[in-house]
Amino acid sequence: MSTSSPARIDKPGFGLLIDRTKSLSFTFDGRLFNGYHGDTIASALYGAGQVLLSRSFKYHRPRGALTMNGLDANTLVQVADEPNVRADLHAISPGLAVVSINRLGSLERDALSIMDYFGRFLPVGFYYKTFFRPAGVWKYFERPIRIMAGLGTLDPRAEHKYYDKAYLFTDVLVVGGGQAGLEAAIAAAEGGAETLLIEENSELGGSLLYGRVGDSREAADTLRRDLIARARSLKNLTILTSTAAAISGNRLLKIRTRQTIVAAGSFDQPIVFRNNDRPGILFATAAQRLMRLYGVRPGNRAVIATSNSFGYETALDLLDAGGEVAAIVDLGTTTGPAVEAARAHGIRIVTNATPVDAKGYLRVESVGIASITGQGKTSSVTDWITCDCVLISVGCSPALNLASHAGAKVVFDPVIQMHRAVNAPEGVSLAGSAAGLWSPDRVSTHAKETGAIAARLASGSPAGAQPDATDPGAASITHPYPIFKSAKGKEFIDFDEDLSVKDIINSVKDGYDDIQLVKRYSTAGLGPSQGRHANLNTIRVVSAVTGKPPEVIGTTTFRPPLVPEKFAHMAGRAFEPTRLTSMHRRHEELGAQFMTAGLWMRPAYYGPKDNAARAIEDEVRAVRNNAGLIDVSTLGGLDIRGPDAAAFIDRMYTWAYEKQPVGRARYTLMTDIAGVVIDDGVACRLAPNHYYVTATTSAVDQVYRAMTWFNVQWKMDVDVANVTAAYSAVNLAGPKARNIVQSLASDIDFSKDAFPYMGVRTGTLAGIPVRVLRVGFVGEAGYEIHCPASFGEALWDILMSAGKPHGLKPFGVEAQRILRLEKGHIIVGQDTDGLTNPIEAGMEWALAKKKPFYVGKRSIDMQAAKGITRKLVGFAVTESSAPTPKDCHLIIRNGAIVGRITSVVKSPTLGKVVGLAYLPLDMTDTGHRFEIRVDGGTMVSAEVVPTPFYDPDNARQEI
Amino acid sequence: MTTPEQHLRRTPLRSALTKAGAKWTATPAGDAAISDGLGSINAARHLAITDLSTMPRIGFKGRQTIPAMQKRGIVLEGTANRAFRQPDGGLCLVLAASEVILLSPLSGDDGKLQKLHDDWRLDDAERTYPMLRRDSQAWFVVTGAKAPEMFAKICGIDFRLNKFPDLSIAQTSVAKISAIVTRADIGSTPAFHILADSASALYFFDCLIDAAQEFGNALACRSILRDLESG
Repeated sequence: MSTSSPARIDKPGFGLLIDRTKSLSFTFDGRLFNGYHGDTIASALYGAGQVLLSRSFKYHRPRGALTMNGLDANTLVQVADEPNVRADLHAISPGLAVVSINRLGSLERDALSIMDYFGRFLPVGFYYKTFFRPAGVWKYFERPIRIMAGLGTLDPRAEHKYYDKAYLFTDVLVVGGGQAGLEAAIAAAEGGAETLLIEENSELGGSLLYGRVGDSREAADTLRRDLIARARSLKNLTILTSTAAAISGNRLLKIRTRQTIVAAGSFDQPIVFRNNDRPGILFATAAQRLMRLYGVRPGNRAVIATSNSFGYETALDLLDAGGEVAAIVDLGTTTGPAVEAARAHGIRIVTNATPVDAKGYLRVESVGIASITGQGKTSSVTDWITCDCVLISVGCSPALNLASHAGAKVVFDPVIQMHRAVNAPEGVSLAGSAAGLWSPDRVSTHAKETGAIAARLASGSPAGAQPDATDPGAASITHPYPIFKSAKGKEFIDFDEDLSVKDIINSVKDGYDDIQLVKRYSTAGLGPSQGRHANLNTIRVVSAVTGKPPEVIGTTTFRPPLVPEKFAHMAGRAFEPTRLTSMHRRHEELGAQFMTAGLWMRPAYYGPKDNAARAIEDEVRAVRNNAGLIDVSTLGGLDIRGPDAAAFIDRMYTWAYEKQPVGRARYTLMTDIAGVVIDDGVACRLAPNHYYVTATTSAVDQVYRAMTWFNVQWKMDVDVANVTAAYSAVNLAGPKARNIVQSLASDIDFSKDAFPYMGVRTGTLAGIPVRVLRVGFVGEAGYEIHCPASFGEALWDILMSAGKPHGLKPFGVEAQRILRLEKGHIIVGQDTDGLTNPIEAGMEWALAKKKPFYVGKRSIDMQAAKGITRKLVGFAVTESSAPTPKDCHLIIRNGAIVGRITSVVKSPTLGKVVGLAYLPLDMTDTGHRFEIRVDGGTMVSAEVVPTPFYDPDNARQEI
Repeated sequence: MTTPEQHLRRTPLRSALTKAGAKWTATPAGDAAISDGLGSINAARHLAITDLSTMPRIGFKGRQTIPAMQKRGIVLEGTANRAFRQPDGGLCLVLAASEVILLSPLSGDDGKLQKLHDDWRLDDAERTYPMLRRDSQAWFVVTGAKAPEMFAKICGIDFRLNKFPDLSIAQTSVAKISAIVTRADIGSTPAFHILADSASALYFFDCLIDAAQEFGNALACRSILRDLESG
């Protein structure tokens, strides 16, 4: 078992986040490691001497921690069934099983590391140039490439976890809990704004957690504690740690704010030199995080390569931690208190020099340094310095992603050699290093003013004077060209994609000289790090090659997400409404198999799935011979009330309604302004000024929208109400239907003469208020009984009970489809399409000829004058042994498609296959024979027959 | 005690609530059963969900609705998205200049609402028309200080107590279905009345329960709300 020393620092001021009294064990590639409570996977491994964490994407080079802040791809590991976990952010826990990725064999002896020797065969853009010739060759390369270049492993058997989403509302949102973010949030809250501060890390403080202020670690720590105490004392300031915009654990946050302050800090930038990716070469801030947060020394003997005071401060930290600093290699001639302090400690300082090569494979062992002789140019190696870590601090790139997502423009500022956000949209401002401010006092003043302005704007007050956003100290942070190409290559500009300087140069040489094209051709910035450490140096190289300054080169586009988001975050807790009728539970109890109809669940049939055909046939026979009960609550219902109700209905539907008697129902056909059939139903005149209109399940919302839209335009004295959900309904149909309703207490006379076909009555049935329609969709005597929805289940219970002696059976949508087709009734949407006019559908009888207007009339009149080319007709298959056609099978004449089937069924009542089909006019005469192409290309003969197929005299429904 | 099946009018949630341990009592009008025996007053002050779907309510819609209601003695103004407390403890929700919903008091006394329904005549041509809101929409009440946080998981409206004052109404989408959310505090406890599609009631109830889980997932009942009402 590995131990958690000797890299551990046992001194005050180190290990802020760990609890040394709580030791935890976990495994990495099956080996047992110890860490402390509060450790991340990477810190615990580093503390145990395990610097090697992963293998690179393309060349399988060994890699170790780079940022210790979840910003690079080097620390991606697999934890159980979760791929691509960031080891430098993920806390260890007892028994945690961590596995390294992208290797064949052990991490130390990855067999695929041989790829490192084949770089010359993998030039930039190689995947655009290879594997597509000869045709079909890709399939032989795909699998091995996927094995060699994979990241984590998805486990399809992984247990589903709970992810959800939530809104957060605030006046001012501050992104980033470093010094600038804290100052801004405190100022906003003190200005009276409800303020939300989100911080990606588990602790507030940003660089104050590990860095120095004015060369003093103590000052930084004191400032951090003071800011946090002030922030936590403010009741209108909410702080969310471990929250990045906008993921918090398993929750996706949708933050709604009036003002947003981006204080997201900045990203370290590497020095590009040969073998700059060796484990043990990491950013100085990563080393500071290891020491201050986790009590881990990054190495025993360090070389620090820097061009600013932060590198010197890191050297002092390392000395404080008991480490040795072999040398500070300064790319320039940095000055300041930290430099003097380093000199006072006797540290060797080499100015105007840079690392140009590194030795060591699984961990850096020495670094070769050379004098800088010009931009990107050096002498030969002047010295090899033995070391076990190289700490880099040569500048930063502000984290402008969020500001850019919001619409700010990102431009290069040659004075500070960094990018800036300009023209930020209203409501978005920046603070701290993201705004180009680095000196602690300037950061503080600017952030406070920015927070106060945000509070004023959020309350609707004028912003006042804008804060001074200049900081002379910013010019000494970032080196203008820390790129030193080697003749031997392997100086990495993008660690994720294993891209070297040569790759970027060759991209430009291949003609892709625009930065956007360079990105796509070379893949620079496309890896998990999203170019945080690669974009700036890529721009510099393109600038150098093209001779254009970086400010002219421009930038690639920042796109969301800012931090890795899982598909689960996107998909988590989706809302998928389902509508159930009030009788749904009864259907379940009766063994219904359900089908969807829009959002509704409807019984397709009752009984086991493996006996569906028999069950449906039984339901059809019950309706034809006794009685059946179907839940039609999903049917749309509209109450049209007011003095102009009849006139309104007359305009909306194609038939005539003004003279329709009270107590009668009439078929309705609705067309749109193009004359296309869009819905049908019945209009029941309950009173002179009151119609109850039914609509199809799927179209009722569309019908309601159309009615309200036209009502606004026509300004008629009528009210339209969609009462679909207010009413439940059943259709009680069959020769014994009347016996059943007559067995129940009611104030409605159900006798044939008193309640004829197409009659409508209101009253009560068994104590339930009802609207009863005598309509015959299925072709039998029947009653469509509508009642307020909360009575629906009781109505079902009462009717089922009353129907028992009469052989009443429930029936579903499948049986209803057969029954209606036997009667030749169309279903709008199935037997019509998006172009069908009423004449084609054989519905001329439903068109009022004398009405001056209805919606679609003008178009239909024009179509009638022009003539139609197809017509919906009934047909029967002529050979009983022929296979049954299906909906949408095609009608073929002389090898050409001339029509299609819209509905077809093997009728249990008629004992033959019947259906509806669109045919050319010259094929629509009764008795005309035609051929249907069914599955497998077989041709089936059929002939045109008149409808209804069943009970052509309509005698049964009018019994 | 009673059972929902003993009544003709039933809540779509009867199975779910029975499974959750609800007992049933008849509504004061005796036409339905309402859940009882769920929750506690402390839970209701923290976060609790109550089903009042079988409680009386009615809507009126039409261009002359506001004057017609005023004529009937309903306390209201023609301001959309405002609720008005009635002298009997009920609520009048003004959804638009042409539409209101009247909710019964927690006592369940439906005398006034029933009279409104019974007295309405189409022939009076008042240009206001009754709506079966007791059937078209389920009625939930979410109570407690944590309600705004819970709503933030299922709705994009800012329901924070200082942003969405008492007697405010939001006609919005909650868990992807249309809903009318009215804040009408009960006693000193924040209370949000939700009217949502009755056919989607079971789905919606599941969404509420799911969203409430991290806050304790408490159900309550009318008697608890009445306790809140009486302080």
